[in-house]
Amino acid sequence: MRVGVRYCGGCRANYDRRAEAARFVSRLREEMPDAVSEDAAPGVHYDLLLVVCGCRAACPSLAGFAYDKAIVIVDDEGIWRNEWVFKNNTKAS
Amino acid sequence: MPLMTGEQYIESLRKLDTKVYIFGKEEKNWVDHPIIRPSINCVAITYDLAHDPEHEDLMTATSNLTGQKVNRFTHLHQSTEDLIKKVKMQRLLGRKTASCFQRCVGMDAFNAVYSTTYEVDRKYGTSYHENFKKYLTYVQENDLTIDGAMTDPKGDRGKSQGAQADPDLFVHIVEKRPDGIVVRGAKAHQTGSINSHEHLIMPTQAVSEEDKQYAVSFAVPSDAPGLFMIYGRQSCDTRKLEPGADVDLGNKQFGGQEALVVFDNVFVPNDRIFLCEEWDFAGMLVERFAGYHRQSYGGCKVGVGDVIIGAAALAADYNGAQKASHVKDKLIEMTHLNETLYSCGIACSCEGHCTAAGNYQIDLLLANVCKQNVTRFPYEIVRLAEDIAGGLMVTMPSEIDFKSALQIPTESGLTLGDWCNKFFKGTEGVTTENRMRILRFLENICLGSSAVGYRTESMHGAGSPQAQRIMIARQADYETKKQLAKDIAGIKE
Ligand SMILES: Cc1cc2nc3c(=O)[nH]c(=O)nc-3n(C[C@H](O)[C@H](O)[C@H](O)COP(=O)(O)OP(=O)(O)OC[C@H]3O[C@@H](n4cnc5c(N)ncnc54)[C@H](O)[C@@H]3O)c2cc1C
Repeated sequence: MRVGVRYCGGCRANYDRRAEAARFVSRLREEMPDAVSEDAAPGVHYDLLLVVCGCRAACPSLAGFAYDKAIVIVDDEGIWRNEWVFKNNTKAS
Repeated sequence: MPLMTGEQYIESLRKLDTKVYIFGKEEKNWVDHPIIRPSINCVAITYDLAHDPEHEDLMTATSNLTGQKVNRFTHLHQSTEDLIKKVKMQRLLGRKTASCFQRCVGMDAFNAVYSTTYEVDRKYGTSYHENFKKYLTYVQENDLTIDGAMTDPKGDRGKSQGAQADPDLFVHIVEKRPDGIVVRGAKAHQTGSINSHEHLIMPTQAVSEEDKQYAVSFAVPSDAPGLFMIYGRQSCDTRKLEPGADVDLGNKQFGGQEALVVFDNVFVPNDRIFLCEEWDFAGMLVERFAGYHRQSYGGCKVGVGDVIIGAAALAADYNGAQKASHVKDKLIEMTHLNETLYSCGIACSCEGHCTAAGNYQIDLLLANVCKQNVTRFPYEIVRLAEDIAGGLMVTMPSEIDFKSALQIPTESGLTLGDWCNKFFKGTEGVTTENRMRILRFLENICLGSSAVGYRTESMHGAGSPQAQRIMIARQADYETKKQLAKDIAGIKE
């Protein structure tokens, strides 16, 4: 499983987004040992796009990113609710 | 090279032959000058963060001119979302540097010149918009830093451009040639001018027909023949010359910069001209640039404010006053003021609109309200920070004294450093050095070199308070409001 990590710009992020993304991916690996993650690049296809946002404005642009499913994390409790799960190239905001 | 790194940016400055004067002499190696370098570091971070996956969503955008990924500082806003992201980017950079990172004036100038030239061409059949698009494509493709230069020295404020005793007090055209124009004058208070690859010049105020030679906009490289800069010194700047200076600087890595930029008969080729005597558009250009720049302050100063609030809270932690209810309340007040500024920056962006040229302009009334608040709230924020910090931020001995092994010939036999550390200790578990560091940071931002960017720039940058009040009055629409009152009160006339 290929996981791309896309960050918001971090204008006032109040937690360590990179550490949180790493925590999420390591939890994911417990269930899907083949999961490999990288900083997301436009044009690359990801099975899962992890959108890590500093706040609930969740404003990063996903234009140009290709993925089957996106999960949005908005705080350090790894909140990734169903309503923030996006299908194929829908925008995060 | 669509996106330079900070290091590449610094190296690109070395290739310029920019003429810089500081303390009475020409400085050839201004890139490494200890007074100038922190301001260069500040611009460099606008390059580095564009490569950082954790920040690139704010720091970069897709160019409408080339379709390429560009640094947002060279971008033409294509939507209200772009306007919002601009403010967020500025807040981010304020948080990272606690300084003026200098690249906003260029970005604001691009957006103002782009939309204004479109309208000038429509009326006069000129080709300034095409000139400008070509110029901005060059800027984007080379990821340049540009000084958006508006403010003239202005001489007697009670007189128009042409009525000044010295015609050079406003930049003006002195010669028109088949291949271009020759300009003369100066731009004062220019933020980041020395650190810029190019200068984009705009008129400072509206121009009347008889003064039309002052209605001029153009771009020139910073090392154009006839162009030179005189560094604007800042409070406590020579501390940066002290060997090994660190703690006493408050902010060792970053700082802002302003300079006087002189044009002593500088030639501008035709394709770099964006306004040439179309006097009736000078006011539009000024108003649009000022609008964008007044929005900017709702981002950058807020980011710096975040750091000040953090520093004040630390100062309280370090002296044990952090639990006092008035201290907590002061931190709340600082936060309230800071977030109010941010709200204004975001609001004028959300309410932005598309210009005839296709880029997005902020809501002018809300941007002026934003800047009007900026002329006040940072002063209150630093007042509260000084209150929480205590007097030590301006009375403590130097870093050298704290580190000194000089034995004081008194009974205890302690060193100078021992005495300093003994009497300036705060709470248990906090080093005296850390306490010094946070207090020096506050000193620097409240009344040292960074106060230039946080205080006086908040007051006068993007126009003095009265300039916003004039714009607010113009857009207040009192007649509609009177009618609203009449309708509710049952007045029929
Ligand atoms: C730190 C800093 C950075 C800046 N960066 C830039 C920059 O990058 N680019 C740029 O172009 N400019 C820049 N500016 C300039 C800024 O826009 C001007 O400072 C501002 O427009 C005020 O002009 P002034 O400083 O000449 O003040 P003055 O014109 O001397 O104003 C002083 C007072 O006189 C009043 N006044 C002036 N003229 C009149 C008048 N005709 N009628 C009534 N009252 C009047 C003003 O309202 C004010 O209260 C910067 C300024 C600062 C302080």
